[in-house]
Amino acid sequence: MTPSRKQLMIVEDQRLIAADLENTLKKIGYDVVASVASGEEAIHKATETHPDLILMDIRLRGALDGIEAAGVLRTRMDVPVVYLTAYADEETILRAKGTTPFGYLVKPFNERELRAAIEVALYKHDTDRLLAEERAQRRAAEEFKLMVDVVNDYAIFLLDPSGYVATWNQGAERIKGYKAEEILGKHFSLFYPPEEIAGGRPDTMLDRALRDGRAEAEGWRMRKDGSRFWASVIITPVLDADGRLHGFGKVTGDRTESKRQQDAASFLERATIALAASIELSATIQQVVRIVVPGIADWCLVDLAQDDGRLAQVAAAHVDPAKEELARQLGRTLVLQPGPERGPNHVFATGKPELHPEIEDLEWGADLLGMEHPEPLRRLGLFSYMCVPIQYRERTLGVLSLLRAAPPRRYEATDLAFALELARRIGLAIDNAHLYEQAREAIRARDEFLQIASHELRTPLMTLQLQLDSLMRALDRAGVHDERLARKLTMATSQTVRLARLVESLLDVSRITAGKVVLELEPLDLAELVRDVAARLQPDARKAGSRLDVQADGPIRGVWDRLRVEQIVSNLISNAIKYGGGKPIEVDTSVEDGCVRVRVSDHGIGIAQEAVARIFGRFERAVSARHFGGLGLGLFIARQFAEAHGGAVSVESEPGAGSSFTVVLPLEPRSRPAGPWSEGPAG
Amino acid sequence: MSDRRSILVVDDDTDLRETVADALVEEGYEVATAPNGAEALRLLRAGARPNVILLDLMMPVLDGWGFRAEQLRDPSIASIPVIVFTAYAVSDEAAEKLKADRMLRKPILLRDLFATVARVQPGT
Repeated sequence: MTPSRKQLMIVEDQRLIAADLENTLKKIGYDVVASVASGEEAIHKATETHPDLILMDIRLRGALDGIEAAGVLRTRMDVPVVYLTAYADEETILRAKGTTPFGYLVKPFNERELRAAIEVALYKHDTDRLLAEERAQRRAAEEFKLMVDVVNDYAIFLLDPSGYVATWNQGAERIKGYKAEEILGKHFSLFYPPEEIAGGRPDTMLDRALRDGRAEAEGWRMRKDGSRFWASVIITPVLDADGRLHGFGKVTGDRTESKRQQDAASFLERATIALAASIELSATIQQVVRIVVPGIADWCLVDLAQDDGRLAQVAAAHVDPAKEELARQLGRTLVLQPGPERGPNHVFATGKPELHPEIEDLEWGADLLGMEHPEPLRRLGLFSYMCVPIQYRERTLGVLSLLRAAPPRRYEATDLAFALELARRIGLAIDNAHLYEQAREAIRARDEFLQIASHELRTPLMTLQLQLDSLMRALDRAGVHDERLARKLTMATSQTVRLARLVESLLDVSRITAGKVVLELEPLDLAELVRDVAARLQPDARKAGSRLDVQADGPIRGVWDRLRVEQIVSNLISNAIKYGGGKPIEVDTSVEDGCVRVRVSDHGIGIAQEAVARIFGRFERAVSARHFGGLGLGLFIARQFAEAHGGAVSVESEPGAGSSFTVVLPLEPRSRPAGPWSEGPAG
Repeated sequence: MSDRRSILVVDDDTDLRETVADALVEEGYEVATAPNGAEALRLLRAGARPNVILLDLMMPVLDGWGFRAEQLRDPSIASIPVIVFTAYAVSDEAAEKLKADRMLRKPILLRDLFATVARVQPGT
């Protein structure tokens, strides 16, 4: 059986006719795969043998006649049927037509007629099938094209192998702005901005697509009108059945909005960091302006209200450094405009933002800005302009002007929203800076008060001390020996000394805070000094129940400020007495590496780890003020004076086991601090 | 002038000035007082010749520096020794400018004051 011989099936209930027909068919070059006598058998055999054609007798004995059997077969398989009939009555032919037969043979027929009917039927069937396939293919292609066409969100189109645009869809028209007839046949590099073309980007994309099977990219692309959009692009090579390059499929999405949001968020983040970085307002705004240009604007002006309620420039920037001075000058003249009818003054007066997306001519631009002559704009460039108020708590603090020098990037509503947000943050920063300035002013006033107050306290205190001193001497001279009187006088003197010490602490702190510590350096024996100070504090230690053990073998010679070093040592020992819990206190000295070390150790309550860093601060103590009096200035002063000598104070402590403070001072000051008279007003 | 050693106390604070003056009188000194540098100059130019001047620095009208400058310009009084009596730390440079014989830093005890005054000899 050769494949070219057609397989036929015979459906004929008259056996002789069937056998005769089979012989004839074989003789004229067909195979007969089956010969059956009823409609049911025909259906069964046909599904089994898949003949190329069925010769079907219309009149069959059994449940189904030929036409009915053909009807069933037609629903199950695609096989041409040629009817055999002896009678061609009207009704039968009509019924037969309903089953779209491929031919009729009216009995009796000869070989030639048989062959012709079969060949015509086979040919017709083949042709019908091909037509149907073609139609289906065409319909699928049309449906696909329809679908691609109506996709609005993506530009989907084909490039030929050299990159010329071959198809175009609605999304492409919408995103890129070209109509199909304008773009078909043009090279796709038209979509790329000049800087990308200069970098050979379009060709690289096609090369990459060929090499890797696809190329994906995000970047700025150009619309027909010259504006830019942020595109996400996928290019895929299209190969035909033989693997030859047919072209490239390109799918482009417009991501401008999400890009804008991302950029705005990241820009605002950077601007906010810059605004928070420094409390020095003008420096901060300068920094923000550096971020604004060139990202958001080609040039930019920031003007803030001054004490007199008028605007003055605090920052100006231009993308071209050579033009920055001109921008600055122009900005200054703009805010000097008398009326608030135009430009920054108008926005400042009304608190309403202005947006001019596209400024067609500079005369108009000059008018918008409130300029008399457009000349400076020719150099600076002006295409798009917005000006927003810098506000905080409903007060307008200034204005922010953002300008684009040239097409195509114009400001739109989203840019305005962004500028308002930026201005809001600048407003917040300004408010912070004001608050900081107020706080700093308050601190300065407090320090000044402290200094004046302690000075003012000093003079009467000294008078009091001298008077008590005189009184003692007078009693001595008069030869009065009254125990009670002497005790009272001693108490008065010691309380005055204590008061004087507190006043001195306050004064020291105010001097330290103002950076006005002037050391009076002189050669000293520090061992002697430590012994003297310890001796002076022995009575206090005894009162607290602490033994004060001093190991200070001298001499330890160096150059220091006697009073300040005395104060350091005295403060550390007093501290140990105060917090020593009545346990022994050790003071020892040593010399090492050109430095003297004085260590004061107690075995008292110690200092909690978290308080260690804090205790050297002003007015700090590790424990409650209720149980331990004093101003909490001792350690602060000790550290500051040690540092003024180029030394340091450190502490090691274990809660419950005691603390050990060590002061280290260089034997010779590293550089002799000599300052001018630097005290406050007279006392 | 008597043979007792004499002192001119120049300080703008009345109570302090009088307290120091009293104590020095009790110690046997002859004491004159002035509330500022201008008044002190007036006394000196009127012929007062103390052995020592105890000089405050911060004063109204004419302060310690101003007084010192005037004093040194006038040969008739330039040689009177001066003890600068101050509440402030004085830098070396500033002390140099004052050309003072001694510096006393407030607060002081009477015995330090007496010892210092006793050590200063006229013409030194």
